[in-house]
Amino acid sequence: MNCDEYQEQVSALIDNELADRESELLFTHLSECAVCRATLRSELELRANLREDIPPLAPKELDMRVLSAAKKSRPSEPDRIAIPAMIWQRRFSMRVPVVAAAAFLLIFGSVLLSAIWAESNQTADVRRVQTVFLTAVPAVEVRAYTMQPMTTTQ
Amino acid sequence: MIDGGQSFVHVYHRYKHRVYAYCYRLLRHPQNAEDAAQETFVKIHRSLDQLENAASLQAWIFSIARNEAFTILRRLRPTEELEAETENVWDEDNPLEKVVQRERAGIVQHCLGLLKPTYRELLILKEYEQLSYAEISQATGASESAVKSGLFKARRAMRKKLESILKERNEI
Repeated sequence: MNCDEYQEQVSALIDNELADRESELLFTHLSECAVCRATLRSELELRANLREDIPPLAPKELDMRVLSAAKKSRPSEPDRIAIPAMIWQRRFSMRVPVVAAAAFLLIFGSVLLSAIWAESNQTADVRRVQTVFLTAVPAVEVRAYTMQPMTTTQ
Repeated sequence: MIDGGQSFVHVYHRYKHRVYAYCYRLLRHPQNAEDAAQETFVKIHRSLDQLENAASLQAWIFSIARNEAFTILRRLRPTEELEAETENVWDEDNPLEKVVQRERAGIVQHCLGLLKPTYRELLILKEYEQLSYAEISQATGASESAVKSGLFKARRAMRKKLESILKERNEI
């Protein structure tokens, strides 16, 4: 290796990027070469000069610019929900308003039907309680109290 | 994999000063540096959850910042061949006479600003951001041996320029 190549090694040495064997060879050369030793000194001096510089701090406006831009581009809450479909043993998704409307219609329809059914079976002075379990919406239980003549839902 | 929600805010606050300083030192202009830093973080926000290896986060962030800063540099000076490998390491646009009026640290910074962007960025990533050669290689797309050789050339050019400026200054 010539001095130019050793000086490239000097640059890598101060960056702590030399392997042990390379460092060994370089130090052997440095012990014999005043020019390369001077290079090492001036490399270290340059580093010290460069690092004297105080890094500029990001302005406060950057916070506002970045965080508001990030907020705008943040993915919104999911507008689709997954519904397990037992028939096909696979998942499909529907929009939340569609699911809500379907659930409402199902409940409303069931209540209406059970009220009609109760009315057709009631006797004049017997209070009966009709309980309808809606299997399509397992968490919902609708009880139709067929009091005269009113029907309530709890 | 990194999740994109709260961790973006954490990444932003952790790196905002470093990314801004990197852009500022490369672009030498506060507004351009702010624009580049903003674009950098917007891009980080978009793809943070796609980053597979959290260990390479730092290099990844600086590679994005580098692209943004160089996009601005190209816009400012579209004719400049930033990627050209050449021995001409100096950006000739800046007037040298301003240099002699500055103090030593200022002179060093001014010399850094005069250096060609490709060499300047190597010194910034090494001296200020203290990235390893592997990380610089990842951030810039250059090979590690090109990083090693580029840093050597950049330092040699800096030393020569500094010596001549300080000599000239003492003679005035």
